[in-house]
Amino acid sequence: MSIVVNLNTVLAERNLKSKELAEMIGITEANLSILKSGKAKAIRFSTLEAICKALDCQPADILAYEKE
Amino acid sequence: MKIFGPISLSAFFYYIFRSISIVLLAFLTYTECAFITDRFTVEDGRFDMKIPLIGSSIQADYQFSDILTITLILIFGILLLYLLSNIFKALKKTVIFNKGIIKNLKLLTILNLIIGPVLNFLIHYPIMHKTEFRNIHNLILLIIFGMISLFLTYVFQKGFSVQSENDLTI
Repeated sequence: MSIVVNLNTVLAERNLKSKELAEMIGITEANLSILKSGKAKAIRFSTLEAICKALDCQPADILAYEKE
Repeated sequence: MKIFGPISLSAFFYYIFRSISIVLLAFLTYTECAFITDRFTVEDGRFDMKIPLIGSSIQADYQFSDILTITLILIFGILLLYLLSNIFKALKKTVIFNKGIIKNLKLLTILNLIIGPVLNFLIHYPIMHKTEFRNIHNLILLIIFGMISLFLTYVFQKGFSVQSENDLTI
């Protein structure tokens, strides 16, 4: 898919672990892993909002479009 | 009462159809064993086989074609009921759009649209040597049942893909 999830980079910048983020935004680690690996088919606005709030960032910091 | 799920109408039908298929399998095994071991009486060219527990008996012309027809119809009935029980078993699960139901619906479609009509023709012409085709209603019922299961297969396939996408929406 041409949408890339840069969650690992943002997490590393903020010195946060996946487990901690999962707890903060209220989703399971398994689902966060699906999101990070790019296997997710879609992302809910509520999840995106929770991630942006927890990481104090913009949706564009997490998601990027790359030409195939 | 719930239609789907662990305690539901689907669970009830699963136990009903599975029980009937097991009883029919036991009945088929009993009749075949009785034919092999000569546990029946023959009178005026017709055999009479007592069925234990029920007290009733099976009677038909004592010919290979009749015995083969009974056997084939029983096997078809067992397969049909077994597949139906498998479908209701799959509907018993919390997530009804699963691979199990699609597989069993496909098999049910094949059984009704291909095996059923072929068996019907085989019993009528090469086995029973009938000159005219009388049981057309059986064939029509098989085709209607097969078409319904064919459409249901595609409905459940579509449901499965939507379910998978929904599961991957975070």
